[in-house]
Amino acid sequence: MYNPLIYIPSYTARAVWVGLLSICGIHVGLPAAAQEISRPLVVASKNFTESRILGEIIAQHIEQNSTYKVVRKHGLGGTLLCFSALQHGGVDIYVEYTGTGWATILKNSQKITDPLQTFLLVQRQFREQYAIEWLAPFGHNNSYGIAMLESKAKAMGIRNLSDLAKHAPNLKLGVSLEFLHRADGYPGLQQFYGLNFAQVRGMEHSLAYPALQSEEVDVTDVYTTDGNLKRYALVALTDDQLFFPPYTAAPIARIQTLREYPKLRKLLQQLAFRLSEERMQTLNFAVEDQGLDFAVVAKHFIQEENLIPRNRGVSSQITPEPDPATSILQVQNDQILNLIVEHLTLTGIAVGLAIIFALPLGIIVARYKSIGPIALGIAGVIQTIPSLALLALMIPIPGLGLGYNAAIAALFLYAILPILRNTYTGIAGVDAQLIEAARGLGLTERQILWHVQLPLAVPTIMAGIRTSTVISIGVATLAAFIGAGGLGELIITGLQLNDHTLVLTGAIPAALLALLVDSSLGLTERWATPRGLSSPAP
Amino acid sequence: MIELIEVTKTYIGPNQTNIRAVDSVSLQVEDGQTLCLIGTSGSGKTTAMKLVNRLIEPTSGTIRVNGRDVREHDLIQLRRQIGYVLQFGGLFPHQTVAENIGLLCQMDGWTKQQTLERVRSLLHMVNLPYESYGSRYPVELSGGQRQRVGVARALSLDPQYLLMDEPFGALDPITRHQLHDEFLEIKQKVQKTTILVTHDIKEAFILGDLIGVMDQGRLVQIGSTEDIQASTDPFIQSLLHNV
Ligand SMILES: Nc1ncnc2c1ncn2[C@@H]1O[C@H](COP(=O)(O)OP(=O)(O)OP(=O)(O)O)[C@@H](O)[C@H]1O
Ligand SMILES: [Mg+2]
Repeated sequence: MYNPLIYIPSYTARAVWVGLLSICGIHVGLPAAAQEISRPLVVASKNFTESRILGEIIAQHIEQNSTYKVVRKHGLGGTLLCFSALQHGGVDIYVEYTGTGWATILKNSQKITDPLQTFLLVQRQFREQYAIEWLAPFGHNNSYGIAMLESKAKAMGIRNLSDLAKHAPNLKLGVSLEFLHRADGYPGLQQFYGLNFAQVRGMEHSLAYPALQSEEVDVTDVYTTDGNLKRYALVALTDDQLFFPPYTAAPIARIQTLREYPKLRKLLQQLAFRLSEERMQTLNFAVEDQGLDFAVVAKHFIQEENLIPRNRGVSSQITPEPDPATSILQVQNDQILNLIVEHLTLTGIAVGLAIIFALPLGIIVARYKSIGPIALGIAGVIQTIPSLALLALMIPIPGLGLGYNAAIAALFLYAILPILRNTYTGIAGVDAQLIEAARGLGLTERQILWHVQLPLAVPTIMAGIRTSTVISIGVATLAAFIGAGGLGELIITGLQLNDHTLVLTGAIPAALLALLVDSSLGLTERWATPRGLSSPAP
Repeated sequence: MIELIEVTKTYIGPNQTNIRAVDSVSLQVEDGQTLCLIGTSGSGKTTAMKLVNRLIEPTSGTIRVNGRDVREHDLIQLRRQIGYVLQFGGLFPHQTVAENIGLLCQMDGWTKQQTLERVRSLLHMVNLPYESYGSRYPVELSGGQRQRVGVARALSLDPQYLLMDEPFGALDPITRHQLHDEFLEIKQKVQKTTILVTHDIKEAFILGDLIGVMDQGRLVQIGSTEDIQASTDPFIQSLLHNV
């Protein structure tokens, strides 16, 4: 296999990196507080294999080469959870990617492609804005990539994406739907390199690997450190003209922490540039396909890299146990109010939109009864889609993407049925005698709607809105799965960590919120109900 | 004047059988007169009445109001000049007594002040003081009070015609008596051409200038109190003797 390293093409560049970084190190690391601190360092990771392996490497390395104690918080859900935990002291170190730091955390919108420049910019902005330090990178870049069978690439002489562009008319592309439609995915790439494939297909990504094997497709999208590259003997082609933003992995920590633990910076710098994409693929492969415990994989790595002092053996306690009682929870307490606000905003917008949409529709449907079954049928079918599936269905829709908009769209769709159905039944259910009375008195159909049917339907409609809202508050806890935030973030993280306290920290406020909103809407309902309707009808 | 000429209304019943709810009925109610329709349950009284304000369209025959075929009138205008009192009151439960009575005035573009004055005088007319009844909801009224509000509502636009479907049904004799007096009083104050449906022949004798007897969709006889009392028709006889 030739070297798939994409963005550090030579040792010269590597030397530049190390040089620059050590300057930064001296710059930041000087006024270290001298006293030893006994508080353990909290090393965290995100909820995917690579992050866990890197987090575990850091944890073991610190444990074996210093007297610092380490507490592990593996598999936290989502970048923002990890990052705000780091900001607020619930986490001391975790591994972040420059592309994520640049776009997701710093919220920079301009495209950036040079890895070194990205790293330095991100590092500077983090220092200025958050007093958080990016330490030396591990050396690999976990970016989007384009891959094909290694044998085929060799036979055709394709080494990089420029080569690929020349051969594209004879090749078939099969990519994940997300990649196919994201502006920074295939459409952008296609233009950038002038790719003209014989065929372009969107497909479920897990099917792409066997499809490559059977040569139904020739080229697919991957993450450059994906363990599957190894498993299926694929090669990620070099992004030679730098289209994809760099995702350089590096440990990050509060500058304050680096002062409190004077040896920490040096320890972390010992891990610098020990990984390539290929090496990282091997580690990911070991966990994902060979079923090894990531702690074992980390241990082997440390041994192979001779990171253990000769006179010490590998300590045996490497199985990470989540520790629910400590600092993570404090972070959540700070966050909980924000999450509640986020949760309510999500629900509020969705239900508001549903009212705007379903109320007039319900009125129309009640008027033209022939379309009733169709409209209610469609809304009913939507309601039967499992919530998680509906959330997932929203993601590929253009303009929604992952996160907030998709969650609102899904919640909106869920909220439609109760409002639509209750508006319809509320209006259609008005006593026929009263309608006849109104007609007989000489009211027009419009006047009957406004002055008789709608007021009489108010309690039913309000009950529908109430049902929609309570359902939405519940379903919104799942929105965290697609990164839309809310109280679900705590629940999902808790589930991943098997941390019941954390699950309850999210679940209890969510339940209380549902109860509170339900009863306050109940009061509104009573307030909105005409007095004449609150006792049995005449 | 209200005229029905050879009017028939047929419903398709179960097994495709025809139900002649109203069967070749012809009648005339002169201006200012009250026609009392009487007959057994299901004899077609309500149907005949709803034909006049076009809540029901006839299968055949012609209905004239004010000398013109009802189909030539503007539907809303026609209904607004025909006050309608429903068999079971038909008050809107979400509106107060004052709102129920003032609804048509409001729809007709009256000012709040005009409407309020109208509501006051109508409530006064049916002996329900505005101060104690205006802001009540229908649930907060007795059956007789509701019927009186129904009558007041029908009179709100001072219509030339009145259709009253058992306005005093299911009441105790004392209240009913009181309402009869009120009706006659109203009738004296405001000249209305009225069709009033009742089950009660005594009520018909008290209130009607003209009495129509219906049986199985047919108008068996129409005439004055004396005409009816003098009738030898066995059905009318049974009506008279069951009192
Ligand atoms: N919509 C309808 N469809 C079918 N048949 C009907 C309909 N409305 C009324 N009828 C029938 O027409 C006949 C006359 O009904 P109508 O309501 O006019 O009687 P009524 O004289 O007012 O009776 P009551 O004294 O009980 O009010 C009845 O046999 C009734 O069952
Ligand atoms: Mg009737």
